[in-house]
Parts: sequence; C-alpha cells; structure tokens
Amino acid sequence: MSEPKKEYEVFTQSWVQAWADELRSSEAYRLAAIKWEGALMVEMEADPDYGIDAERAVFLDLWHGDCRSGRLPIDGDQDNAEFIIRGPAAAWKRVLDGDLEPIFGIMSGKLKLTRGSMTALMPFVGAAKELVAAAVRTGGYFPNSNSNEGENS
Amino acid sequence: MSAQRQLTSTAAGGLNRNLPPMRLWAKAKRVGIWDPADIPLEKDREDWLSLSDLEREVLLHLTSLFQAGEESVTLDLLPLIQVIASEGRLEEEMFLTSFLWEEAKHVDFFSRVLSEVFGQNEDLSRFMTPSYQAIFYDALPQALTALREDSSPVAQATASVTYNMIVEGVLAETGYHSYYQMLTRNNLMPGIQEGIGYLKSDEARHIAYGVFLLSRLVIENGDEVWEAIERRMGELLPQAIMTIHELFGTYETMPFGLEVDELVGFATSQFERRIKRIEKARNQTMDDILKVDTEAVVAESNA
Repeated sequence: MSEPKKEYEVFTQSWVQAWADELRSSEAYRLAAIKWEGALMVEMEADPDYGIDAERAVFLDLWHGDCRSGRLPIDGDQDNAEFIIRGPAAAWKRVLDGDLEPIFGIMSGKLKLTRGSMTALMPFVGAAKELVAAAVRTGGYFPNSNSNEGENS
Repeated sequence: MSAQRQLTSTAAGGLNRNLPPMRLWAKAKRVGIWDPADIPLEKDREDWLSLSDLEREVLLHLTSLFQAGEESVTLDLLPLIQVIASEGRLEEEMFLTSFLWEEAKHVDFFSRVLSEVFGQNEDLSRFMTPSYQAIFYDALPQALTALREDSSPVAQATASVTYNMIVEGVLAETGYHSYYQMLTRNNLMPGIQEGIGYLKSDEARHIAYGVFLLSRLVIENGDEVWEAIERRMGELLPQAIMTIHELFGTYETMPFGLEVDELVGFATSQFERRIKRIEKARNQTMDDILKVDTEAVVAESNA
C-alpha cells in the first residue's frame, strides 16, 4: 500500500480540490452516495500546536454520487450545507490519518455534527466512510510539521 | 508435586466485596431474580388481537430482533467467562454467572411473547437485515469465539466492545428503551411492559460490567487496548447505525409514535457518556477505579 500523498496543506483550496478529484474518481463513493443530496461543510478549530492559527473550513457540493465542487466556503455556504461537521485539529488529524472513524468520532463527541442530525446521516453511513477514505488518499500535511508524526491523542 | 493453587475466597482478605462486579452481583441477586414464567400475558394477547396489521408487523419485527439477539448473546458469552475464570478473577466470574443466567431468561421471556402473545411459530429470519446479520451472525460470534485461541487483553477488549458496547449498549438498550416507551405511551401489553422493565435493569448491569472490564483492561494494558477499543467501535458503530436505519427503512410510517430521532438520540447520549468514562481510564489507576468508580458503576447499572 502506497503512502498517502502529502503535497497539500490541509483545509486549503488546493487540498479540498484534490479531495473533490478523489471523490469524482471513486467508484466506491459514487455507488455509496448515489442517494446523497446536499453539501457537506467540514470545520476545523484553530490549534497553534498543529499550526492552525485560525479556524478553517472546506465545502463539498455533493450530489448523487458526484462531487460538483470542492472549495473554501463563501457567503451563504454555512446556511446551504446539509451537514456541518466540526472538530479540533487533533481529531481531524486522526481522521485524515485513518485512525478515527467519523461515525465513532461523532458519537463519542470528538467531532460535532453542528448541522444535520445523526438520523439524517444514517442512510449515508457508507458514503461517509468513502468520503473519509478519499480524504485519506488525498493526504495532506498540517502546517506544524511536528504534528505530522503519527500519534493517538 | 503440583503447585499450590491460589484461591481467592480462602486467601487473606477473602472476597473483595468492594469490587464493582461484586456490587453488581449483589444487585443481581436482589433484583435479577424475576421469572419469565410468572408474568401474566393474557391481557397482552387481547391487545395483540386488537392491533392493525401494520402494528402487529412492527411489533413482530422488533420482537424477532430481540429474540434472535438474546439467543446470540446467550450462545456467545461463555468464552469470555472462561477467560475471566482462567485469570482467577473470582468476583468477576461470580457476577458473570448471573449475567449468563439472565440472558437465558431473556430468551425464555421473548419465546413466551412470540408464542403466547403473538401466536407465532413461523420462521422469522426475514426480519434479520444485512447489517443485523453482520453484527449478530458474524461480528459477535467471531469476536467471542476468538477468545478460545487468543485471550490477550486486546482480544478481550474487542470481544467486550462488540458484546457490551455495541450489541447491548447501542442496539439492545436502545431497542428496549423505545419498545418500552412505545408500549407505555399507548397503554398496551402490560405483561410485556413488565418483562421489558426487568430486561432493561438486567442489561444496565451487564453494560456496567462492560464499562468496568474495558476500563480495567485500559488501566492494566494502556494505549494498546484503548486503540483496539476505538478501532472496534469504528468498525461496528456504522453497522449498528445501519441496523437502526434498515429497521425504520422497512416501513413508510412507523406506528405507535415510534420516532427514529428519539431512538438515535438516546443511543448517542448513552454511548458518548460510556466511552468518555472508558477513555478516562487512560489516566487512572485501579485504585481510582475502586475508590471512585464503584459508585459510578452502580449508577451505570441504574441508568
């Protein structure tokens, strides 16, 4: 198994575009998300230990197995997102390393579903898994290089 | 000459009655002695006959899942008891004898409900959806049977997460909570209400033991076990959520005011509270658990 790519800084325009490209090329995601309608916003809280000096967020416009766009949020995106998942940098680092399964993350309180509900997310558990798998394949690094070592905080 | 066997009950100090499992054992002897055969079900049968086809189908669906689940946990628990016994943990094993006995009584109870209230003797496997099967037919027996070959702390944690946290803590407890609410709100089937009340109390003790066991394994073995717990939760929680989704997805409208939001909300809050307690054990000692968590474990058994 090849090492994840690390060329993009996480939660940036180039990174979210690369994530969107991964989704578009994933047959597993297309099949799992065939009934998914609506955008997903992912928010990361600031944490200087990870080199994240200010909150970051990315926006994925997801529609029936396709990712129509992946970008930094613009005005109105927060209101238009079907789901918003928010968490600290440490939790997102673990998700992107493939060490924290997102449904477990939400149910254990490590990640918060601040828009949408577990009930609404329930039919898309398989799609959520493929979304994260694509993000893991995208790779990416955190600005603070020390935080890029493996850990389980 | 064989080595002297170390026995707990005749050693200095004897049984440690302050251990959380001994507190649970004491409680099981007090409140876990109900007999499924003593519960009157005549009124329940009358209520059943007055229900619509959809209401009967949903009740039969839920009860089939409970019956199959209780049979599965009865069949699968023994390897864990064997491991605990082989480690000489007498107090824990004593509690586990009540645990298995209670699971068998749950099978007995639902068997009465299916035959005497619902008048069923047909094959009910049509209700076992793919995610339900993945947990009860595969994950649960595999994790518990694995203990026969590998009794390591990681294998024990994997088995306990599967059994106590997912099957009992997410599926059974949530299912019984909703089923109980559904019957009490609609003033239906007093015998089943009574039985489910006992089951809820029994399951709360079982889950409390699971929280204790996982906390002890984390304290004794550190991050290796904690990581195994998280890994197993990550594997099975999506399946458990899908099991609930598949149940509700079967029906266009759910009778009895059964709300998926309420069910998922209950499952999530219970799960979050327990996983935080287990995670806290990463920074605790066994003394902390014995001093502080005895009360917490007993409180858990009332939750």
